[in-house]
Amino acid sequence: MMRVRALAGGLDVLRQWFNDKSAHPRILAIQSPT
Amino acid sequence: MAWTFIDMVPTDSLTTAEGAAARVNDFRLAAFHDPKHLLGQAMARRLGWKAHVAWDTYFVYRPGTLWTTTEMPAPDEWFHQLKDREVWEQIAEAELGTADWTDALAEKSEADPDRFRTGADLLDALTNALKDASAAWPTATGVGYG
Repeated sequence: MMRVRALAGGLDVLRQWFNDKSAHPRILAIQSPT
Repeated sequence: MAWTFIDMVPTDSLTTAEGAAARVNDFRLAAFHDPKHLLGQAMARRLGWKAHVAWDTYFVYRPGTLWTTTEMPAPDEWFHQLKDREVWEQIAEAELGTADWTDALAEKSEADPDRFRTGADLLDALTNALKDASAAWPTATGVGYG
């Protein structure tokens, strides 16, 4: 099951993911879950 | 792809985000939850929106782009599924069973209507944007983490 990481404390965890995957094209998607 | 779930309507929560994420099993996906609209606001700022939070919005980046400051980098391409409030008000009750949630929406979307895509059109747009992003970076390793 995919873990859902919280951004409540800031965007650092997402920024880390973004930079870790910098060798690849990336999509940042934002949606309501319902 | 980073798939962020933002709490925009009353039924949105970490629980519903986890439920949505559980429906997909793809190693290329990373899921996040944005209850305070931090990413939604950052994406809106990047797009120059003054009064709205970004949601149902998609940023595409070529390989090599880094996020080095507090503001996120400009996307190479972007699309959205946002409709004007007037349209939402006409369809909200049919879609969600209540029109109350439209109170949470601003008067009118600032999103560029030329970048509005849904369904197969959105999939095509994102697929093509990823291909273009890969082509722009000769050492790219494909769309493995797109």
